[in-house]
Amino acid sequence: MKKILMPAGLILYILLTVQPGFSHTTDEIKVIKDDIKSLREGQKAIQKELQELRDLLKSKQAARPAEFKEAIINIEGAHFKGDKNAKLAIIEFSDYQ
Amino acid sequence: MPGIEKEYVNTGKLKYIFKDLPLESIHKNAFRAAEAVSCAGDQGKFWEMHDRLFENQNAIVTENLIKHAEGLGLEASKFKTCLEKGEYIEKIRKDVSEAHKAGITGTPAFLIGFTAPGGKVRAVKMIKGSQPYAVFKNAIDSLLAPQKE
Repeated sequence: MKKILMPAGLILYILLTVQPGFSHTTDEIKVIKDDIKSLREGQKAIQKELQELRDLLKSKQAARPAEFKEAIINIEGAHFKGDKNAKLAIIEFSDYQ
Repeated sequence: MPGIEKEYVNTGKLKYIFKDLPLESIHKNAFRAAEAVSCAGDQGKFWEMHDRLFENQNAIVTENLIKHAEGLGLEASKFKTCLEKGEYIEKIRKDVSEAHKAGITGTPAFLIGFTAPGGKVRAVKMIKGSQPYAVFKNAIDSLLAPQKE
C-alpha cells in the first residue's frame, strides 16, 4: 500500500507545484506578449517619424534655389524699369520662345 | 510681373532689369529674337519689342521680326542693318555667360539683390521658373525689411 501511495504522492506533489509554475509562465508569456506589442508600436512610431524626416529632406532638396548664396551681376548698359537708384534690384533672365 | 511692377518698381523700391538668356538648343530663333529686341532698343523701343515678341512667340523668323519692327514704327533699314551686323551678339553672349556663372541654365530665372556701385547688383536670392506672385513678394519683402530700421 505504501509503495502505491508513494508515486501517487509524488504525482500530486508535482501537480501542485508545477501547476502554479504553469500559471506563472503563462503570466510571463502574457507580459512578454504585451512587451512585444508595445515594442512593435514603438517601432511603428519610429518608422513613421523616419518617413516624415525623409519627406522633409526630400522637400528641402526640391527647394534647391535655397542653396544659392550670392552672385555679382554686371547691369551696366542693361535695360531696366523703375528708379535707377533703387536699393533693390531684380534681374530677369529670359528668352523669347 | 505686373504685380511686382505696380507694387515695387513703380514705387521706387525695386529696379527691374532684363537680361537675355536665349536657349538656342531648344529654341532655334531665340537668339535672333533677343538681338531684335536690343536693335529695337537702339530706336527707343526696347520694351515695346520685348512685349511684342513675348506675346507672339510662335513665329520668330527674321521676316517676322522686321514686320514687328515696322509695326512699332521703327526705321526698317536701320533695324535690318543692326540685325545683319549682329551688333548685339557679343552683349547677349555676355548675358548668357553671366547667367551660367550664377548657375542659371533655364528660363525664366530671377536674381534678387542689392544694387552696388559701378553698375553692379549683389544678388542674394534666386527664383527659378514662373513662380506665383507670393514667392516674389516674400523674397523682395525679406530684403526690404532690414532697410526700414
